[in-house]
Amino acid sequence: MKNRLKVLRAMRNWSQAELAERLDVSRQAVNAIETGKHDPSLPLAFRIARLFELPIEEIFDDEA
Amino acid sequence: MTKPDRDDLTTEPTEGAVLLRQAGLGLGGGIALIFIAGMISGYVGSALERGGPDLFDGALIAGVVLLAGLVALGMWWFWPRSGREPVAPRVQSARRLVVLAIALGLPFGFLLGLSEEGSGTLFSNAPVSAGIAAISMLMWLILGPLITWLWWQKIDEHEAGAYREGALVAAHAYLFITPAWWLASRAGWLPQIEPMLMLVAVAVIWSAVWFVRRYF
Repeated sequence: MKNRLKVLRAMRNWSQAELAERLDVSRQAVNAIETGKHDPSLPLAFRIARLFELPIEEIFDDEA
Repeated sequence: MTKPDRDDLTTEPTEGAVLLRQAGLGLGGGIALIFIAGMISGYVGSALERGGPDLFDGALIAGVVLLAGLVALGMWWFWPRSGREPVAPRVQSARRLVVLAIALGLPFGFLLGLSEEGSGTLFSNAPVSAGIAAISMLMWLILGPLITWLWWQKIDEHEAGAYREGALVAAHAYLFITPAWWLASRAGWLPQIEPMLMLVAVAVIWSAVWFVRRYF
């Protein structure tokens, strides 16, 4: 599943580790989501959406 | 612009490469230190049998201790380090539990290996004393599952997925290898099935899949 996590992170000037700390996951998890190797669970997707104050569908694209 | 991550920098080694180097240094240095410790204990034992260490023995032992110190210093010196980066609380907790498991398991395994009762090998089927058996069973049946369960509560969903996938592959490896080996031994092609060897094989396959899925 494609997502805009890396772009959103870049807009806030956060490193992967900083985003991981905010989401309470490992840096490897953030990297795997950004590169499309891991699709986050619904609870984690909601945490990401809340953190960036965006609807889930503006972050994740299930068309790809 | 985002702050650089290891994954964003092409000149930096990948995280997998760093971990492999850490594993190589840890295993190599650890084996060397265990070997040196065994050498010291063996030499001290023989010196005591001869009536106690003399000046030459003392100098020799001091030299070997110095060698152990150099090995430890080398491990520390060459250990690949990443810059200080923030770590989520649950990741810190999971790491602490791994360190606890190693701190409990390594000294016990080392002592078991040194004791003649264990015959110095994991694959030995030699009899062991009731004390060793009781402590080992306590570790495997109570401490092991407890620490594993606590660790499982702390890891994030990405690592949990890698762990589950490793378990699935390892379970299938067990499912297919065990009956094949059993039949091969009945046909006289292989020795009798060795449960501890199967345990190690399953653990290695499980760990390898977990490692690849988590870091690559």
